Amino acid sequence: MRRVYQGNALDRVPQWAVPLIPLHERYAEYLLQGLVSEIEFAALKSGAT
Amino acid sequence: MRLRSSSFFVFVILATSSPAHQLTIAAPCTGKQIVFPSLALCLPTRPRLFCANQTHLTYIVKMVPTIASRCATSPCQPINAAIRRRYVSSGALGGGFSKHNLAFFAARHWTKHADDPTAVSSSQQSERRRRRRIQDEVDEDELPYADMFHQQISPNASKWLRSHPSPSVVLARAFFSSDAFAPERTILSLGPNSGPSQAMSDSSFNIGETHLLWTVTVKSPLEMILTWELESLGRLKGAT
Repeated sequence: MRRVYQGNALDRVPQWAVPLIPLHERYAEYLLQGLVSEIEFAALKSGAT
Repeated sequence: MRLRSSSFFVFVILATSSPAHQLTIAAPCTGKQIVFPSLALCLPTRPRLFCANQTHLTYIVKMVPTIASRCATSPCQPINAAIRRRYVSSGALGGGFSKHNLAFFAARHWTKHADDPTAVSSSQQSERRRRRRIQDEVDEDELPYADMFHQQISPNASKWLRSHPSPSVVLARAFFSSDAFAPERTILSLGPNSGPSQAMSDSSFNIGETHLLWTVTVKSPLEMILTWELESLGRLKGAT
């Protein structure tokens, strides 16, 4: 496992939310970055070499 | 070994019981053989017949050095089932982690399993049949919105994740307890429909369990899908 994946699905995007999709995507990437940081830190703390 | 593209081959994968414990992959149509030592203990002891195209063989050949290196450093017996579990997803996105597969999963889940969120985890065979049926029925233009992001992790973190029996649980815990998610976690935990948010770092994320707005729907060693539904926004549904 070299990559961590994170995805989202929505049954329908309301019309008012369509302009917010790029913002949502940036937020999702930010969350993924946070997840990876958490994993890296946990691995470091556990002493994995 | 050179292969012709877009043609199908029949391969015999034979795990011998010889002292050398060799694995022989032979292509009868070309007469060529590849011999991998020290691998037989990790594979079924009976000869098996596979029909594979070039992609499958490339995958097998790529995987063999990985499996062989593991066998060289530790006993093969306990690795046998674990390796296969880790590299072959038994979850809902068996075709791979892609936006397209997630969209198909969501379409299938919301049209066929609206009443029972845990029904997706039924037998894999019926799951594959349902997937084929949905793929026939669902127009690609009508697929739900989906996105998929990926990020590379360091070899140390990868090794650490592999040391867990279920890396997906570790990832889910990390997701919900990360600093990046903290503001959203705080806001959602104030909502009336929110599930328990305490002790998330110890949760086993079993199917049907609720975490904040999310319910665990699919759980496999490499894959976890949580779904949510908001009545207040016109019964909006999502999956993460």
